[in-house]
Amino acid sequence: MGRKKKKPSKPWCWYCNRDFDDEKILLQHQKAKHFKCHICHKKLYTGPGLSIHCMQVHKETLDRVPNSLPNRGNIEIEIYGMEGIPESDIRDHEAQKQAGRITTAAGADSSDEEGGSSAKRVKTAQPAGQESTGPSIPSLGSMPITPMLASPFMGMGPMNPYLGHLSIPMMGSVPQMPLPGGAASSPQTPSKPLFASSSSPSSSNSASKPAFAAYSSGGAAATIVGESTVPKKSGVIATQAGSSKIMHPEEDLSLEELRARLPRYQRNSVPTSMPQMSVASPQNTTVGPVSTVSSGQMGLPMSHLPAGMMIPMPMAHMALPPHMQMGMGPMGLLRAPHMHPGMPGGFAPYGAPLGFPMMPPRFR
Amino acid sequence: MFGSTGFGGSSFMGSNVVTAPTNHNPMKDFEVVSPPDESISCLEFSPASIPQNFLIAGSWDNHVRCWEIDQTGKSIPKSQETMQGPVLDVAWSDDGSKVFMAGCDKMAKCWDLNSNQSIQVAAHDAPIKTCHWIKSHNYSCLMTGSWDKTLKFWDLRQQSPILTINLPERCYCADVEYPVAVVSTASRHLLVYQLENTPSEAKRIESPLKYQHRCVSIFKDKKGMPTGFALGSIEGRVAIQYITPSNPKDNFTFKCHRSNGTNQQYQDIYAVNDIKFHPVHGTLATAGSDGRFSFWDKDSRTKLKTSEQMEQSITACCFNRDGQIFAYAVSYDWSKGHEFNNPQKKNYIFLHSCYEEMKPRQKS
Repeated sequence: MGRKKKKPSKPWCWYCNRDFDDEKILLQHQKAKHFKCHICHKKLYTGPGLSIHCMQVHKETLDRVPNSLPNRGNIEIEIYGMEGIPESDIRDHEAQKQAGRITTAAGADSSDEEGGSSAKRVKTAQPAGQESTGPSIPSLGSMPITPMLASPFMGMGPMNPYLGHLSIPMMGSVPQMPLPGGAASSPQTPSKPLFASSSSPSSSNSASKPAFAAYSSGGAAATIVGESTVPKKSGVIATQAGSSKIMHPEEDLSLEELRARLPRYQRNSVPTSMPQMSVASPQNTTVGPVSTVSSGQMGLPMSHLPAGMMIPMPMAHMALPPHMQMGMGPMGLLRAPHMHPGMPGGFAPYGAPLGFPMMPPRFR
Repeated sequence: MFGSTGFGGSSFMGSNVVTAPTNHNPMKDFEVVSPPDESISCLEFSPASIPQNFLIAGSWDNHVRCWEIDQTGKSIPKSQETMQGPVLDVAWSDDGSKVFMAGCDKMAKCWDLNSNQSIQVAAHDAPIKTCHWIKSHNYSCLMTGSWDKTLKFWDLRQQSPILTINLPERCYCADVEYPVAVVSTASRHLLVYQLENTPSEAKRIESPLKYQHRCVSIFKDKKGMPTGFALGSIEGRVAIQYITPSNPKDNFTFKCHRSNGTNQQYQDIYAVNDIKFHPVHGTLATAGSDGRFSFWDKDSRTKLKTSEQMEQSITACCFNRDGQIFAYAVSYDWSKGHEFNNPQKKNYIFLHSCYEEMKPRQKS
């Protein structure tokens, strides 16, 4: 491999702090990312070399090394692979490796080529970056764990006591998995500390019975439980990091959760337990937007089929005669003969609101 | 200016202002007729068990629509089904006779396409984010993952789940390729289940990504056995992870769906909204919040193609059973919050002929 290679310490790039498997790859990386002229793409060998090239050939001054960290952009320091790194930075780097830093993620990590289409067929060190190397795994694990532990408890607390019961032992065992020093344990993880695999289905099974019974006994309870599972205080995502921005709202909820919070998507206060033939609150005009559709048939409360409730009585709502095309006007919606007594409201033939031409549904 | 846009996209603006593409179909793909009025959350083509191609789309307007796609790329609306809240996921049964749908109304329904009837088959305490059909030699069931932090398995004939598994956090995405299921939750948990005899947890994997997980898709080896998965996050990155890698370097991540690469200071990073594997070639497609889709070859670690930019983000995508058609949905994914939701903007579903483009690159 390279000369004077220190086996214990992996080569890393002084400019952007990335780790590499060996010095050759590190050098290729530096030449491509830090010593490459942005004007003519010529690859130089050192920082000062690049600066001189730009001055002489393009008459342009370069004040910082491309793609480098803010504090490592000094073009005058001559770094070649691992050579030339100032003592203090070496010590800093070792210290950081011990402490398990979260790597610089989006901002400085611009050195990955998208998709790795390089003809050089750079070994996995490049795309894997820091993520797969040993020392950084514990850092990954230890940081996010703490907030992770906090939120499930918060979420579980007000929730169904039965589910809470079951989850507590699980939560307790979670930290065992990715802890530092347990980096080696990730291959061992298969079920050992967490679930004896044979017993987990049974334990979940037995817990699910009371859980189910608890919530099905009261529809209202079910809804409340539902709402509280999304933690009220959600974490924050660091969307802005250095020179890049993640196009995502800052709240650490999924886009669907954020969208579903809108009142217009929430008019479904229907008790969800199946055994009950409870009358679904028909006023659930969940289809606010649909009502604006031009077919203009929306005088009706579009109570969407509480067909869901009817296990024993499958709703024949869809078996509408084919001549019921769109543009039939509002009358198209009320096919009373199909309605079961106790079925609230009129119901929408599925094609109607959206100008969806109704072909006879024949699938074979 | 006709030649300058490269696609001959006619920008009649007459000025040099570069704004969002005025062409709603920059890839000149087949446009599916009667698209939903609100964002499309999920897309699925019918399985290989039926000869025709049927496309199902679930939307935030509470409807699930079905089209038949003929050989010429023409789409024929067939029918539509309605839920009581926004639809978050859809799935086909293995024989192509039923469609499952689940969403914010905390229920899952089974829609029998032949009889055109639907019944409720599942219930949770919070919106159901994922639903997948599992077909095993000794059982068949529907797997639902919810924000109520449970994974439930439903025999359609029973009102209670046959199995409930507690998750450490809200279910965000899942995929099933018998006998493996992969589920990912909030706080970047990653769980692998084996489905033989009865589903049980096989292992938990430490996340290879540093940001919120958004989508996951299982891939198979040359013998057709599921061997790993692709995981996408909100930070424009996909991880390729083997469940039991023969070499840790087999696992890697790559960046995608980012604007303006490394030579510029500022980079916008977009979420990966969906990932799907080509059923024949084994290459993968990613759908980005940036309004582009890309094709990748994970074995040669190269990018095969990136599309032009759509007018809105691409929220869902899927391949048809023989890998000829790639369907993708263009609609708002909420990545910039509710302020940027424009109900006037039309949503699209396009069909792209992809068989040749998705052929793997020969290893260089």
